[in-house]
Amino acid sequence: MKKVFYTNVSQKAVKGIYRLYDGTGAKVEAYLNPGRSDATVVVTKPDRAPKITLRGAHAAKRKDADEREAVSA
Amino acid sequence: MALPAPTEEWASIIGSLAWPLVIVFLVLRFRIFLRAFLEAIAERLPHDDLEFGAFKMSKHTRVVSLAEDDSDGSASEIHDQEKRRRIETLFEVLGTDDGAEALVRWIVENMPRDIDIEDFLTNDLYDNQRAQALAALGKEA
Repeated sequence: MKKVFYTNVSQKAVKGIYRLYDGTGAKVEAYLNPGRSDATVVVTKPDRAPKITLRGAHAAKRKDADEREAVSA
Repeated sequence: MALPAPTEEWASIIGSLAWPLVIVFLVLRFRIFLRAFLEAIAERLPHDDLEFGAFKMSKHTRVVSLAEDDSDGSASEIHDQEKRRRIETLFEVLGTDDGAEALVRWIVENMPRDIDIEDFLTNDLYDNQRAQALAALGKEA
């Protein structure tokens, strides 16, 4: 297992960290720091966790563009 | 105003309140020492496995420090704080539906297709690109 520790994380940023690892198989745990408004977030990733890439988003964007071109043609 | 009588009930209440306050005081009082301690740990991490109760750290562990409220005011510290603030602001952007959509759009249009998003958000190599993304999103840190 690989771990990433995020320290001094604002509560808004905690949501972004959850979203980044959502669906990747990683376990995300947020610990609020006592007496403060920030948190420490521990992300535990499987050893062979794939890179988090935007290939899907690229493909979706190309598909959208192709569809727009098809409609305008 | 009269002080409450030293009853067992009051002693119990004060006893419960005292520990958190002592811990907060100690953290604030020794924060410079704690920072040095954590830096020493960060230096050892590439070679050794370390364990602190629930917080197990191995040589594969990465520590990403986001923006702190206090700073010693030195130029390098301010520079580091700016970098950390950019990372934190991007995570805040990613935490909202609209922000996430706009950020993904920016990355799709400006970064290589197979970029690791975790690297883009946290690796020092991409600090300039993070600044550009924030500027484009109108969220300059």
